[in-house]
Order: sequence, then C-alpha cells, then structure tokens
Amino acid sequence: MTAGTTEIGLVKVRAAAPLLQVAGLRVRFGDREVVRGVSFAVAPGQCLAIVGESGSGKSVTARTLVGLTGPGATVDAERIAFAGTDLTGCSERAWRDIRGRQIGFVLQDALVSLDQLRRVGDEVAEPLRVHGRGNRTERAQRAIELLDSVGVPEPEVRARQRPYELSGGLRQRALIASAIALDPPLLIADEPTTALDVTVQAQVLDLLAEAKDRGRAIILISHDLSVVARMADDVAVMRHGEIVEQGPAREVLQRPRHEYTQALLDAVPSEHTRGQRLVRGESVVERVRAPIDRTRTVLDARGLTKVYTGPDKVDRTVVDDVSFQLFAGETLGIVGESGSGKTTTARIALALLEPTAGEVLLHDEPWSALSRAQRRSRRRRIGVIYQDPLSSFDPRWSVGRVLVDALATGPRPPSSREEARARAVRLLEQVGLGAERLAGAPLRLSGGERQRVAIARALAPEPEVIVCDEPVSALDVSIQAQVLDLLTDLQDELGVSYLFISHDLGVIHHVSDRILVMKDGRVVEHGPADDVFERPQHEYTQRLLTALPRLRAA
Amino acid sequence: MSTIAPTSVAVRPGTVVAGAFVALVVVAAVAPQLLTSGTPTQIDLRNALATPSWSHPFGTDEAGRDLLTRVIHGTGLSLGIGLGATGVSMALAIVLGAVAALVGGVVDTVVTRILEVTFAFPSLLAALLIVAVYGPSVTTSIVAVGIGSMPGYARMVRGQVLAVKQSGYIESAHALGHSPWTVFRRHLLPNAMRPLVAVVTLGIGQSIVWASSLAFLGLGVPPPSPEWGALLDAGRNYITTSWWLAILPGLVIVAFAIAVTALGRSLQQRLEGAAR
Repeated sequence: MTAGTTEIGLVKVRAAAPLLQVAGLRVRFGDREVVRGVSFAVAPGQCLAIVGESGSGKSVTARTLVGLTGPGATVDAERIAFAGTDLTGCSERAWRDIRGRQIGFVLQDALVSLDQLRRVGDEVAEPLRVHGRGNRTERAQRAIELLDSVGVPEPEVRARQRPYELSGGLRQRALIASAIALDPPLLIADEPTTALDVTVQAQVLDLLAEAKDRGRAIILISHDLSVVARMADDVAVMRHGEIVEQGPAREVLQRPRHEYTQALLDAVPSEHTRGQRLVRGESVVERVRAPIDRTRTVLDARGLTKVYTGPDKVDRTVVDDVSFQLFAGETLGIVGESGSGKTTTARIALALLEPTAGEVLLHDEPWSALSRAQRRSRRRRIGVIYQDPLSSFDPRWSVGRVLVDALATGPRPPSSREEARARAVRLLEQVGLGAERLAGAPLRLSGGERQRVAIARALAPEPEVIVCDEPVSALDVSIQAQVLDLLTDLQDELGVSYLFISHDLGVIHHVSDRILVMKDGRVVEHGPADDVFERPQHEYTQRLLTALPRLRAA
Repeated sequence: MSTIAPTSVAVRPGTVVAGAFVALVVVAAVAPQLLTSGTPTQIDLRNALATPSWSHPFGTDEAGRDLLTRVIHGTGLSLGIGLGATGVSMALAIVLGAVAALVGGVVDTVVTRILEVTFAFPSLLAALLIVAVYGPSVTTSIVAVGIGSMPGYARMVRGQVLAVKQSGYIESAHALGHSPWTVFRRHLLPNAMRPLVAVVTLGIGQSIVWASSLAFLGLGVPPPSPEWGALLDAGRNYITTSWWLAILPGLVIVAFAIAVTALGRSLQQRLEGAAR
C-alpha cells in the first residue's frame, strides 16, 4: 500500500516501488498458449505501454490483470502483485472488489462496453454503486462531475442520455469517466483511442496524461506506436504471446534492438516514408514512379453537393461544393475526420450515389450525368476497394469465382474456362498470393489477404482509376505496410490513378501526390502533399496536424 | 459456405431417427411397391374391419382394404400436396416479398399492409375459404394451403432481401457494372433465401398437416383416395368400433410432421452455426 500513497514528487523517481508487478504470466486457451511468460512492472505516476499487433496476446494480458480472462482460460503466473498483495488465485468475489476501486479498466469499444438501455450517468456511476459509495443523488451528482472532468460538454444533459445518442468520442470519454470514478491507483486502457478521430484522440490522451500526473499508474494497450510514443514511459513490445523487447520508451522507439520492433517502426507510414516502400529488406527501397500525365484528367469532379433531407424535413448538406481533378497516374488523397463527407464524395465519384448538384466526368466524358443503364458499360473503367473487404465478397463465392466474375466485366472477357482460370491466377500473383487461394472462401483468409483479393478484383477489369475508401484502416501496421506497398507498386507498374480516402494523416501523407482536406462536407484546404503538411494554411488543418501523435521528431 | 464443415454441431440420435423416417416416407412416395406387395384398392369383404395383426399391421377398413397398404400408397399424394403447397407459398412469397423490398415506397407499404391483414386471420380459415369457393380437389388443396401459409414466408423474404440489399457485395457487384437483374439473380436472391431453407423444411410438415386437416373436414382430396387426411376422415366414422382406422393414419401424419420439424431444426442450427 505504500506505493499507492507515495507523494507524486517521489513517484516520478524511476526507482519508486512498483504498484503492479507481473512475473512469468502465462495464459492458455485449451492447448493454445496465447501469453507465454511475460513479466513487467508499473510504478505510480508511470505509463507502461504494451504494443503489438492482433494476436500478440496484449489484450488477453490486460484482461488477465483484472480477472476477466474469460471462461476456458488457464492463467498461470509466478507472481502478480498489486500494491504488495498477491493476485494469483484470486476468487471472482475478490476480483469484483478490486475492479473499479483498485484497478480501472477502459475497453476499446465504448458502444458495446456501455449498456445501451441505461443512462450514461448511471453507467458512469456504476462503480460507485457496486462499491457502495454515496446514495443515489450523491452518485448522480458525482457522475456529472466525472463527465465534466473528462471534458464532456453539457454533462447534465449527457448524463440523462443513453450511450447510442452520444458520438464515439463522447462515449469513450464516458467510459473513461466510469473507469476513474473511484480514482483507482491503476488504470488499464485497452486501445482507448482506436476508432476515434485524431482531435478526439488527442483529448482522450490528454485525459490519461492528466491521471498519470496525478500519480496514477497506467497500462496502455495499443497497436499504434505514435500514440504510445506520446504517452508511455516504458514500452513492452509483444509478439506471439512473448515480450520481444522492453525498456524506456525513448530507447525502444528510437534505438530498437529487436528486429521486429524495428520492422514495426519502419512500417508506420508518415511524411518520412514518402516515395519509399514501407517493408524494407536491408535498405530503403525508393519507388520508381510511372510518370503523372497532367494533360489527362481521369476523374473530374465539379461542384459536387449532396443534400439529405432527414425525417424531420431538415436538409443536411453532407457534401458541399467539392471540386477536384485526378490526373493519370496520380494519387489524390482525401483526408478528414468522421462525418467530413469524404466517403460520400467517394460514392458520388463512383456514381453509386447521385449528387444533388454538380457533375463528375470520367476521362473527360459525362459520368454522373449518364443514366444508370448508360453508366453500366463504363463502370469497369473505375474500380473500388473498401475498408472491409470481407463484406464486399458474396459469402457463397470462392476467391476464384469472385475474380472470374470481375474479369468477365473487363474489356477482354475470358473466352474459355481455362483462360479465365489462368488470368485469375495471374491476378493473384500480381497481388502476391498463390494459385492455391483460388478455391478457398474469402472468409478463410486473413485481413491482409482479403484486401489483396479485393485489390485483385478491382484490377481485373483493367480500370484507369481506383477509388480506395479507407483500404488499410482495419489492418495491423505491418500488414498495412504490405498493402500500401502493393498499392504503390501496382501504380508504378500499371500507371493507375488512385482516389485515396483515409482518416489517417500518416497514410495519406505517405501515398498522396496531392491532398484534399475535408471538414463538414467542404474542402478546407488542397494542394501538393508536402505543402499541406508542412505549410498548412487553414486553421483546421493546423489543428489536425497538432493533434497528430508523432513517432519521430521532424 | 459449403467449404465450412459445421463440425461443432454433433448429429443427435433423434435427428438420425427423423432422417430415417423421412427417407422411408420418400421411398413410399416414389416407389410404394417396394414397401408393400398389395394394392390399395384390393377389396376383401370377408376381412372387413379386421384388427391390426401380422398379416394386416394397420388392420383393414370397412371394405377389407389393407390400411398399411393404403397409407403407403397415399404417401405420394400427401407428400406431393405438402411440397406443392410449400412451392406455391414460397413462389408467391418470393414475388411479393422481393417486390416489396426492392421497389419500396408505396408498393412496400401496400404489400406489407396486405400481409398484415392476411396474418390477422388463421391460415386454415383462409384455406377453407378458397376450398369453399373452388370445391375440393388436389389442386385446390395445394393452392389453398399454399396461399394460407404464404404471408409468413413473404414477410421473411422481405426482411431478408432488405438486409442483403444493404450488403457490401451487392454494391460491389453494381460497381463492377453488372445489370440489376444479374445482381438479383446471382447475389441477392440466393443469399436472401439461404436462411429460409430450414424454414421451408419446417413448412413442408406443416403443409401436410393442413392438407390433411382439409381432407378430414371433407374439403380436401375426396375419398376413396388414400391421401392421409382422407383416410383419417374415412376412419372417423368407425372411431368407436375400429379405432385403428383413424388413429394409425393420424399417428403417421404426426410422426412425419415431427420428423420433418426435427430435420428442419437441425438444418437451421447448422446453417446458423456455419454463418460465422
């Protein structure tokens, strides 16, 4: 208990007694060992970040520390000591006493973590109720204070609303408010900012930093190295259930000793990686660009506007006077936060959605103005890649059938089954997959492989333009690097143009030649990528870039 | 989805028994002579109303016809009516449900309202009405039972089509330049119908029960046809003296309905288990 009550000034000293100490933690599900003997410690006022990709065991580790490993799990540890108390073999009853009061837990997905049918205020005050603090009115008052303390505007109103009525950022803050309700000495946050916009992410991270300054210990689980770089004092890198590298954040992130950490760091796209491949062998590989032909406009959007009339008869303009040109062989990035209208713009460009006003030209010919039937024969000239490739495949179809179907819509439909198969195999090879994938179902593939198949399908009808709508947002950083490399390689090889939509500023800077920054349906800034990132003119762009956590100093 | 073996759901012994019984019924429907050497209309007045015995396991009727032989020979007709009625109701349901979901707007509202109205009165009543108008026959039985059970299916089809319509692969197919008809045929209909397979299996058993009910009321297939419901109707007159004439065909109907339901449930679990 001494560590928990130490003065903040003393705690800042690295030698402070650890609040939580874990040694030789192992977790098995059946005969599959997902955490293989990890050891770490965190002291009050310190933040330990556990980073890793999906399947690394980082979330299981986090859940084990609050006794929520789940049924069917076998937990085994040499030592799990919290404030001097041994937690190994803790009963469910004892865990309930610890959770909330001693250890707060923030989960990634606030929408599923909060009970949809209860008011936000009740959810926030839940730990107080469970641990018998105060009466009903006192708790309600405290919930409002908590919401206020985590930066929720109009906390009195929000407390009476239900989780689904709140935006993602507000829900995540409500969840954090609930986790800090009893001001526990240790806070475990599992991907607390994933799925949040950068500006909201910055607010949530500030909140955690504030708790840290108050002497609380934090264990931050994240796949995002930039977030980790901003918060952590110590970093543990996990892979396949093991910690491959561990140490002070500055050392691990700037002078990594393990090659996996190095590869992870290299894979993060940013301004530093522009014009290079992200997956490196011995050295940096520069891209060999196919020339951009500025005399050929492949996609020309003129004054696009989309207005939706809601059930309340109020018009909402989701896309407002958006114009851009995409040249042959070029990548135009559209970046913006959720609700900025970037995906609606992409759907209008694909002519899957009619603009309320404005027009899209494809190869200097009418496109959005054509009738549906007229458009059909030209659809093959513009392809699309989605964020979630799996849902874009018919669940009954094999990879081969998906590709053959797409080939048949192209300019040279295969004339025989043998030719169709051979060309499908060639497409797979082009995206780095083997012919053995042909017969399998997309469901059986990994996320990266699925996106490769989606890219192969987009390429099949030989389009000159591909609209990429958040194509790497659901992927781990190393897989993201591979898919981004694939996209740039294909552009260098085929001269295809990309309209690249993303919320991720690093990804956008990495791939784009020119950038459009969107906010509330409008283009607030546009220009060459380096200009926008280095000399942002609009206040919003400046704010975005300030909020962006950075791995390396410029 | 066929590549994913639903190994997690073990086959229960009850399902095996149900499967065997349904298989037997199908054999009886397709090739009754394999199961019995007699003919269903063989009159033997000396053996009229004989109790069940080794030579007549189900006994005989008032004309001395072997009841088991009649049940076996009636299978084809009963099963045919069941399948036919399910076919009629599914065909109507697909058209109505898909049109409502795809056209939307006023059409959807009108179709949905009509379905709600038909839902409001019992299916058997609807079937009775149709028979009352067109007179009892095999065809009217099929149409009557088919229309009677249509609203439930139509509502499910509508819901499924609405859900599938929103899915990514439908948009992908449009983005590739496929025509609306191709998208409907290749992606929308098959995916919308997939979860209905199990429901349809359940429906076949239900249809047979309803067709038998109509016949029992004298509104189905007229005697001397050995259709199961007609046998039941004929046996009703002797229920106090010769119980087997009504009870045994009745048991066959019940057993078949239970067997088909068991199979349908098992299929349903498998399909749901396989859908991720």
